[in-house]
Amino acid sequence: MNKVIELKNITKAFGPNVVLDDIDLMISKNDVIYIHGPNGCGKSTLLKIITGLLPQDKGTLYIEADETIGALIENPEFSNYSTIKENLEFLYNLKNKMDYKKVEDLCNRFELDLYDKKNVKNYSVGMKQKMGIIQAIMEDQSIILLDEPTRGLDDRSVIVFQDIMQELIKDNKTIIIAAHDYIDIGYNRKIELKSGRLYEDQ
Amino acid sequence: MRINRLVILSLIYLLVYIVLFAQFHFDPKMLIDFIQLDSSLFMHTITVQIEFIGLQIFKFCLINMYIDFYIQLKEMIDIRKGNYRSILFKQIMICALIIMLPDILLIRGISGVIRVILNILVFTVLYIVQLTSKNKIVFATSPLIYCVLLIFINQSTI
Ligand SMILES: Nc1ncnc2c1ncn2[C@@H]1O[C@H](COP(=O)(O)OP(=O)(O)OP(=O)(O)O)[C@@H](O)[C@H]1O
Ligand SMILES: [Mg+2]
Repeated sequence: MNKVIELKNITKAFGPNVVLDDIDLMISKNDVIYIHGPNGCGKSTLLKIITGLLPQDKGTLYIEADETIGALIENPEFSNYSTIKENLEFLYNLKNKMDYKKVEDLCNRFELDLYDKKNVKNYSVGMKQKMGIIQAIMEDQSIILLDEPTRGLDDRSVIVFQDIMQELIKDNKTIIIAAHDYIDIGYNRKIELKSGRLYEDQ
Repeated sequence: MRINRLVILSLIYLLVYIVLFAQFHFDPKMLIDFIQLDSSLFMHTITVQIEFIGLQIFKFCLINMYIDFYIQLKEMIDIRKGNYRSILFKQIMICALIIMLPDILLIRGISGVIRVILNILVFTVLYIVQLTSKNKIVFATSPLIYCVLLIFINQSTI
């Protein structure tokens, strides 16, 4: 087994509210993990710690050096007074040269137009959510973290999402999805987060 | 770099100077005097005073419009392990240079060089303070503080 992420004794509290209590988690390459639990149990917090957006109070986080992370965390924030292309182009070009054909294709599958002249400010919640999913996978990232990815998506787009996830699984990506609504994409692990602890379904 | 937006920003800025220039009957001497106003500003008409202070506030607003793009994308930059601070700093420096272009073009002698350098320095520092401060009062007053410091700089480098 190829370890790509390892959390050891991770603790995170906001004041007296202990959200993650001494958590251990080992994630292998090609794992497809479903994380669930009630509102406020700490799913988003856990994903933020893995992406480095939030520092843990205690414990160590290991991420395999040549893995790249793509993530959609909570409400994706884009630059509102710019177009979808300006946003995605800038993000893509931070590390690589943008593959226009590929991103355009991803957009089309979600019924978005990469060359739309409208500002993102005028996009609907679902459209922004789709942009959020696209940016998390467009650079061929090897680890993909998605926080409630299908929130706001219509039925057709949920099917597109499922298809894309299945392709990514075939591509040997490591995928972690935190959500309430269970949508089958072929998870190999299911983990419940409850009172600051992880319980893996056997 | 987002060239399109920079060009638009520069054109808007240029327009302001053209209007000012026209107002001074296309007399370059008067425009230079206006840009380099010192405490004698307060002996001018109220219109000139408002225009001078307005111009300084406008500089901040214009950059805010441009820099907003990077601020909103902060989280996505961080996820990609991009260096948010250096990206932001680079963009602020580019904007500051564009904003100071009229001053740079009007450099006269050593004192002029010192004036421009001090001006850019003070402007950048205040802009970054304004940006990083979560305090609304700091946000609102930094263009005015810049205005006062600019008058000082102009006063002491004549
Ligand atoms: N920045 C913060 N400051 C203080 N408390 C926070 C902060 N972020 C999260 N919390 C608290 O941490 C707990 C976990 O929040 P988190 O967003 O991780 O939950 P979640 O499992 O993602 O919930 P949901 O299903 O509603 O998305 C909540 O009690 C929340 O109030
Ligand atoms: Mg959440």
